[in-house]
Amino acid sequence: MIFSIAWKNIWRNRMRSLIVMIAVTIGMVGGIFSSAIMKGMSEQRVKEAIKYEVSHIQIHHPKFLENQEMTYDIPGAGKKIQHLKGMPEIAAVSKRLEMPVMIKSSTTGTGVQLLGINPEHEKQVTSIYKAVYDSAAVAENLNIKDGEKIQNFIEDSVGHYFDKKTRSKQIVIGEKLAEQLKVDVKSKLIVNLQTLDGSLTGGVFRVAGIYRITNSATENSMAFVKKNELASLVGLENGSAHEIAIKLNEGVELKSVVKKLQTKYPELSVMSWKDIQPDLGMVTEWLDIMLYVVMVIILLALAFGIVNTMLMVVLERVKELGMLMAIGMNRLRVFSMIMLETIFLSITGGIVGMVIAALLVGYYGENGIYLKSFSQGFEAVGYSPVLYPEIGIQFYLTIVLLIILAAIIASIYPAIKALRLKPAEALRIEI
Amino acid sequence: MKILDIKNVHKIYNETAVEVNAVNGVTLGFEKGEFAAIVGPSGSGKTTLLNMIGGLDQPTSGEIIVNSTNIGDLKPSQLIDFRMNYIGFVFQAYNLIPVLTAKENVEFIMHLQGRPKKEREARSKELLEAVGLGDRIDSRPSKMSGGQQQRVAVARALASKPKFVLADEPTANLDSKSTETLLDIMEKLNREEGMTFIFSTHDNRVVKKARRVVTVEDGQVKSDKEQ
Repeated sequence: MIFSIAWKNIWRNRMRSLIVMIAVTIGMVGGIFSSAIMKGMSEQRVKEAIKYEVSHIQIHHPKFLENQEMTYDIPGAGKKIQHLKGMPEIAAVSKRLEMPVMIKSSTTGTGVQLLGINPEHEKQVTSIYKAVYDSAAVAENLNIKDGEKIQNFIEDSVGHYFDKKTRSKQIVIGEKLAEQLKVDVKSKLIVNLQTLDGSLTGGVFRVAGIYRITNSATENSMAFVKKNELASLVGLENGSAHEIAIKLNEGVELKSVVKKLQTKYPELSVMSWKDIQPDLGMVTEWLDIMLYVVMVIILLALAFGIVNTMLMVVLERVKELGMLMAIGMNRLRVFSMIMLETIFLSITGGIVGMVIAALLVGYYGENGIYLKSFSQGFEAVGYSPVLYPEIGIQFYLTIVLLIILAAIIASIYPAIKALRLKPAEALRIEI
Repeated sequence: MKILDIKNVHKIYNETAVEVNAVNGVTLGFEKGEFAAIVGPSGSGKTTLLNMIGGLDQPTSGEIIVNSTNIGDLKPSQLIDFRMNYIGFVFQAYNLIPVLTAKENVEFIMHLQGRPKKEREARSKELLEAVGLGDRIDSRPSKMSGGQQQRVAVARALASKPKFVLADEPTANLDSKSTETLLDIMEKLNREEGMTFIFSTHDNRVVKKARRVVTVEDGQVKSDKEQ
């Protein structure tokens, strides 16, 4: 009964209630959609980082992490790889050698992180190879229709991912690094590095391919060569590895696998992507909190408007409230009625807002929002200029709770006003 | 046997600097089934007296005893229960719940009392038929005339099966015909249901119908006549 009275009461002043509902709707659409954009950005960043850069889990010799000294390779790497490949949670494994080197072109030089990889294994773990071939799409966009010309264009501009046999050693570098070194595909680069015994050595590599990902910092600092070529250059055994990168199957819980591996290999360091790039993990966790903070602030602002409306409601209905209390409606029921009206008033706009926001998020989550004028800035910090908003169902559920909470808080003052009425006096008031 | 005993009741309002003796030493008794009018000019204290009988106000001194309970001793929450179970109110301005239909308005108080749905529906229908609104049970107050609304209010007042029906100037806003209809209905229900009706009024039409007339002036009983 009180439910139905409260619901009917909010439609007594249609216009006023609609204005409040529209305000809540706009607040919700704005809040949820912008939250979804931020969340989508951060999720995309994480996905790309996992896809191109860190993979899910990395295993190292604990001392290797301190100084990246090449003597600290993973003991018995080959055997461990076999075991890891057999685990049901694991999709693919790649062994890597890793060391800081100097790269020089004919004009300039810079320091980069050089990864020695087995291309076939690496393809299964990270997608840098795709970042080389995806650039082929550029050629199509340039309207080069002729198949042979496309092939030529790709070979000239982006190259390949260790797919062609050449006499010289091959290196794949990022687009930013290529720009910095002023080199193209097939250009020669000299890599200077330390050998196992501490002496300096160098090798000539030819640029096989240029990859392009959204994170410019990585593009600028990560280069790939074949593992066996790097091993022989520095004098390491072919089977040795500094790093084992692991890609998990879909839906596998990261934490549990990390824990399992940590127990299995107590002598090694097993890290998830959150440990490897703590900034990334922190950003996503911090963002989750910030999104709620933003929603709370929006709701708080809306709550003040709702308080105002409900005060008007109570003031207008002094006589009626007096009558209700006179005939035996107790304080709890009066309070509940005012509170329910406030909740209905808020949640109606809230639900409409959520539905609109969900539709927007759904549409743009599929089609993306391309921010052309910001693309350089976004890429510099590792974010894609095409945003795919996304937000979990849990967020919506929490918002519903937050709206109800805000409505309850907003109803307290008006409800107390109503309770302070003395029925005998309220009944005499003429409005 | 008295079911309402008012003993030397005073009510002093001192919200402003001047003390107002709204009710100044009233002693009255009512028996079951009475149909009584409290008559007096405005400001005579009749509404205050009625409010105290109805538990909307408490006396400054003196006792109002219903069923051997002194209303003055009740706590606010007990007063609400007292009003809900013992008193049926009819107000001058009808004061129905505008968003509810006639039937829902009548059922409302039974709902507060926690009566089962079947009983609520049967009683509200019965009462609305008794006040001649059997065909308007699903109308909202805004679709009814003043007289019809006040008849719904009477039905509502009786719905809880109270001991008393208190009506504060129930006919003040009604034309002669509606007043007559309303009074006839109230008298009929008073006989059928056996509840005690007490009106405050200065309407001669009501005074004529009443079987007992208590005249109040300056907060004191001037006369108390059966007729």
